Amino acid sequence: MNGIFALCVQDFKRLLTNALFWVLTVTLVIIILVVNFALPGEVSARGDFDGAVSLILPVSATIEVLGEVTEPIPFNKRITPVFVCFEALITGFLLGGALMLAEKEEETVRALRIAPMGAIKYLLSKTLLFAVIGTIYASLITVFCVGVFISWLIFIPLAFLGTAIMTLIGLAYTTLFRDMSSWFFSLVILLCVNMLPIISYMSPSYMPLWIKLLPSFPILFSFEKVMFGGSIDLTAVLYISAWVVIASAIAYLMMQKNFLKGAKNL
Amino acid sequence: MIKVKNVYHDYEGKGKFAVSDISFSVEPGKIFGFLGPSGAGKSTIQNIMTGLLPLQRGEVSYNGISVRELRTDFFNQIGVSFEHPNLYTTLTGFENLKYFAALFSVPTIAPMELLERVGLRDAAKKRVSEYSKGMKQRLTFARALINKPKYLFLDEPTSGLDPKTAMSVRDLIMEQKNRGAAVFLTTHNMELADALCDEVAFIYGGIIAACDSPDALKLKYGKREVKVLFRENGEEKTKTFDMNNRDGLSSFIQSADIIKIHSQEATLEEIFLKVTGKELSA
Repeated sequence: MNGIFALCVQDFKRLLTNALFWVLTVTLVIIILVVNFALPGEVSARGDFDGAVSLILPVSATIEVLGEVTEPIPFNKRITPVFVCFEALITGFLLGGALMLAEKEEETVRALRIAPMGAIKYLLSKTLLFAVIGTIYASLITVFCVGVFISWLIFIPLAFLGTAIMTLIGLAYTTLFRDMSSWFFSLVILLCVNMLPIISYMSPSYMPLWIKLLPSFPILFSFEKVMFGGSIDLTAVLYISAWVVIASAIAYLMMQKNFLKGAKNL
Repeated sequence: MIKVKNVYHDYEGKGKFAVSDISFSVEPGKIFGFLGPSGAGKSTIQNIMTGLLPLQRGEVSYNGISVRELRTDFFNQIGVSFEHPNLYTTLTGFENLKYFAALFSVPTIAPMELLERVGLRDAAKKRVSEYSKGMKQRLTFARALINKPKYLFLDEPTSGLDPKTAMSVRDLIMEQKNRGAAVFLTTHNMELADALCDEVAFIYGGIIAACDSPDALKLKYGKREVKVLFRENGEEKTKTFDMNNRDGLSSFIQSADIIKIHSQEATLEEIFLKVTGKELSA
C-alpha cells in the first residue's frame, strides 16, 4: 500500500504541471461563479422550473397536489448535480488518460513494463488519486452552490465511487490510443454520450432503458437525491456497484492487453 | 543464470527474421557484451529477454524458469537502462527515482545516493526536461540500479557521456558485476566492451557471427607480431617482428635504441570487421 501512496504523490506532482488539470480547476471556479451569480433561479415563464412536465391548463382548472407540498428548487441549484457529475467526476477520465498518454509519449511505459508493478497497482494508484481529487472538486461545487446541509455520509462515497468508475473507463479507453490528438477527438464523443442522462434529468418523462444503462445515469440522479432530499433507492446502489465491477474488469483487461504487454507500445 | 537458446523473432510474421538462432548464456558475476551495429538485432534480443517482446521461437530462461512463465514479482530482480532515456520529464531527477523505487517490493537504494554516484546530486531538484542528453542518460542508468538488480540490462550506457562520467559509469558497472549481478551489455562501443566484458558476441544481420571471451577472440584473430619503435640517426622508426622470430627480436632489442615495444593484438573492432566480412567490402 505504501508503494501505491508513493505513486499517487508522484502522479499528483505530474498533474501540477499538466495544463488540462489547471483548465479543469479554473472551470470548477467558473461553474461556482456561474451557478451563484449568472444562472437564474427561475427559468420558465409558466412557473418554477422544477423538472416536472409543464401543462397549459384551462383558466378554470384547479390543481390539487397529492403529495407533500415543498418549496420549488431554484434552477441554478437544481443544475448543480449536472456540474458535479460532468465536471468534477470526469477529472479522472480526462486527467488519467492525459497522464497515461504522456507515459506513452515519453516512453516511460517501457520502463513501467519491466517493473514489478502490474495492472492492478497501476490502476489502483491512478484511481485512488483521481477519486480523491474528484471528491474534493464535487464537494467544493456542492458547498458553494447548494450548501453544507446535505448527507455527506452518502455524498462522499458516491462522489468517490463515481470518479473511480469514470477514471477506470477513461484509463481503459486511453490504452487504445498513442497520441493526444486522436484520443481527444474521440473522447469528446464518448463524453457526449455519457452526458445524455442530462436529458432525462431535465425532462423526467424521457427515461428510455438505454439511457438508464449509462454509468452516469444512477450517479446523476443519486446526487440529486443527496442534495435535495430523498433517499437513494436500492436499484441505484446496485447499478453503481455493478459499474464499479464492470469498469474495473474492463480497465484491467485493456491494461494487460494494450498497455503492459504485447509489442504495441514498443 | 540467463540462458538464451535458439531464439528467432519475426516482427511481421512473414518469415523474415530480425534475429535467427541466437544462443548464449550469462552467468552471475559476469558481463556479457552484445556487440553490433545499429539494426543488427541487439535491441530485439534485449526486448525478448526482458519480456518487452513476446518470445516467438526458442527459449529464454532465468535460473531454469522460462521467460513465458515469469510473474510480476520477477521484475524485482531486473534492471534495464534503455538506450533512449525514457523519464518523467515534468518530475525532477530525484522524484523520478522515488517514483520507480515505489514500484519495487524489495529494498531499494536511496535516490540521493544513486544520484551522487552518477554525478547528478546538484541537479537532483531540477526537472528532467531541463537536463542535457547526457544527464538523462545517467539518470536512466541510475534508475536501472535502484533495486540492486540480479539481472542488469544496459543498452549503450556510456553513449553521449563525457570521458570522466563514462569512467564513473564503467566503475558502477564493474561494481554490479562484483556484487554478483549478471550483466547484459548491448553496445557498439568496442572499447567499452573490451574493458568490461568477460564474454562478447558479435551480432550482424540478426545472427551471432562470433562468441567468446575478448582475449580468446584476440588470440584467434589477432596477428602474432611485435612492433618496435626505435631511434636511428636522430629519427624515430618502427620495425615489426613475427613472434616466432624470437632470436631476431632479441638481437634487435640489444642492438637498437628502443623507445617502445607493442604486441600487435587485434582490437575487437578489427575482429568484428573480420568475422562479419565487412572489411572485404571496405
